[in-house]
Amino acid sequence: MKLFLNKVNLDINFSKEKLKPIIDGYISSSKELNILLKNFLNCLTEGNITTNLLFAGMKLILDDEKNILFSFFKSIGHFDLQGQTKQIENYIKIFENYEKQTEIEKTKFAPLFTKLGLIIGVIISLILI
Amino acid sequence: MLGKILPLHIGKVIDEKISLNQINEIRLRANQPIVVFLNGQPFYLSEKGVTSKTENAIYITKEEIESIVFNASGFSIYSVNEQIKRGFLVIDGGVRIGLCGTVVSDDNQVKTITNFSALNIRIPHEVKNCSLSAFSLLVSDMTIRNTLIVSPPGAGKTTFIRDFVYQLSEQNYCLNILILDERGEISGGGEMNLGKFADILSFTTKSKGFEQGIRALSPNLIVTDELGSIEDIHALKYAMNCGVSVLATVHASSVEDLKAKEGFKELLAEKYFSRFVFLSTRQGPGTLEAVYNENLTRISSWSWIYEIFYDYFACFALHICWLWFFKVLH
Repeated sequence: MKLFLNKVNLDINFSKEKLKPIIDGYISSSKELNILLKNFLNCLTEGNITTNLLFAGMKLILDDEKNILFSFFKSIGHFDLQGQTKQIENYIKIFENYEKQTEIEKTKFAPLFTKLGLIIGVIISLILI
Repeated sequence: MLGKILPLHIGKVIDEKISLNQINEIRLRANQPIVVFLNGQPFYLSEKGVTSKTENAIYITKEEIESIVFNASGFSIYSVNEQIKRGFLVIDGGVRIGLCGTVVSDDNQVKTITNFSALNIRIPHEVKNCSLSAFSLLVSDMTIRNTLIVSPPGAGKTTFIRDFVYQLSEQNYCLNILILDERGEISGGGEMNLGKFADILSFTTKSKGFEQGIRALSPNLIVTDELGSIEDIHALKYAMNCGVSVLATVHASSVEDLKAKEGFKELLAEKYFSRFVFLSTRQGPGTLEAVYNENLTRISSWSWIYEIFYDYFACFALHICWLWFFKVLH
């Protein structure tokens, strides 16, 4: 998502390219992001952005993340160049904070889950013996 | 083209019940009935097409107006903000959307317009041969006289110059014509037929366009729409002093109005223009009222003479009818 936002920021500042061609030309390695962008284009064509339409077919996403993504896609394209750039930069910061939080959670919970997995594995093998 | 930007129910009525060829303007005002101008006459838009009764009219909300602007910008307001700053948006086919809302300024400069509350959607038309009635008066020995087309808004100035350029091509006036299309209306985003010899420079200011065009494209004739500011007049003089003919338009309804406009008194006194074509909406948009020369003396054209004869004949016929009516009464 951060990479996508950086690309949008670059394209709109360099050539004031419209959103549709930018999104059409962007292919992410993340399947979820590709679905999200495709859904967003569908929403634009329909003329209505709803959470159901925007997140259709997406699984690995939390409600909190949905709220942020929805508010981003609901407002993108509605500003002048300066406002749009600021909006994107603001959301990049929000996503960076999310990234940091998940990193912290990873360092905090990863050893715990590894240990739990090992213990459960040992218990299962003991039961089977 | 309008179906892409208008709310579904409104677009459907316009597409199915009214012919786009008849529409001049669509006026949208927040929480007010939609007004459609058909052949210069105002009507309310209704589910069945048009109506003269407000109770049958379709109303539009502010949210719908905002969404029209967003759709017209290609879902990217930032990409058209330079147009928005100047109070309009042009979409495919040269459809111009005039914007009304809250103007955001900073340091005496317009930054953008937000909070849109009213729109004026103008549909351009190609009216073939509409310039022919004045054509012979505006050309002389394969050169085009410096001409100013004068009329109030909505009287067919742009349609006239569009057809004039087309007629030059049709009648094999092999000239390099530069069209300075400040709002993309003359060329309609490339969808209008402007003949074989037109180079189109779109969305540039007149001052930049005249200079750039003369240097790079060496035109014989420059065609531009809606002169307004002092900068426009300076740019115009620059072009004329470079030996390039100019065909331009301006908003005014009479010679007096024209003289009262800033910068035009001098322009008229110095005889920069040798022809003035006055249009009106008297018999529908594009009615040719008169053609004047550089001394602001009316010069004849066959259509003008025809019109006078037509008027006299109509008066005569009416007179006979009245006589017959009174005779029957007695």
